[in-house]
Amino acid sequence: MSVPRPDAPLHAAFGGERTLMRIHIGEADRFDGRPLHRAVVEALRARGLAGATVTQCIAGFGATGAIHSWSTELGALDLPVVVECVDEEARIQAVLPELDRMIGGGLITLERAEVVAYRAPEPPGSAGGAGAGGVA
Amino acid sequence: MTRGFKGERILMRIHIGSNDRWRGRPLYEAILELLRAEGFAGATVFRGIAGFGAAARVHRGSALSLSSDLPIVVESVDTDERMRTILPVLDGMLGGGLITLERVRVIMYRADVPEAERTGSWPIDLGGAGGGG
Repeated sequence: MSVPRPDAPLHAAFGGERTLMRIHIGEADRFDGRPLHRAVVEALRARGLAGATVTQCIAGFGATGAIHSWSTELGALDLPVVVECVDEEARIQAVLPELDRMIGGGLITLERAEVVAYRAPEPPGSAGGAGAGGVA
Repeated sequence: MTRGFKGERILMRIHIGSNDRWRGRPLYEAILELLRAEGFAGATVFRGIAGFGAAARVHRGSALSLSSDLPIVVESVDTDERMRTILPVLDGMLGGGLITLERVRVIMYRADVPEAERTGSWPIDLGGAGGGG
């Protein structure tokens, strides 16, 4: 399935200082009948953000103070997950109201990130990475 | 424990190994419980799939071995002061490892509660005005 991304960042122009957003939620959190982490990734993709990565963690605690780990979550399977996304600060700010509505409890942090490489793999047989290919 | 906070904070990342132990228990578990007992805002434990560190040995998992020593990263976000207080304690618990600190902006930190119980500090706040919740 392909979502049109007319305003997606040009690969060559994406290097430099950007913002890294990290969203800490629970694996069992849900939104609209789906896992919340999946809904978050789809929201970021639908808005044309440059990318997102979901990492499953093995233990943690948060604002409620309850420890979530392999041993405590055998039944509930509510381990922490972190969704990371790097893009322009303005683009990240634009998606925040939507995230605010979707997410119940959690933690969101922003930090500065320097992008040194962002590119799609080249299709086989293409001319090779002139221009946009190199690590900045 | 449910303290709302927003604004500039410190992210601490502690890199250790999954086989590291402290007083008979996994070290990451001991760190998690220490941070919780000290009232830290939260902590998250990640397991890496490969890595190397100060001893320059590559750690890698294997389908046949459940006992591999894989990289573990414990992350926690809280005030600079809290980090400074805990560092000497961590110093006594960690053998080898790496600890880094970096500045982050907290724009949301909240426990889920029903809509009727949500206070003014509930929404995401880019300004980081702080405040309880």
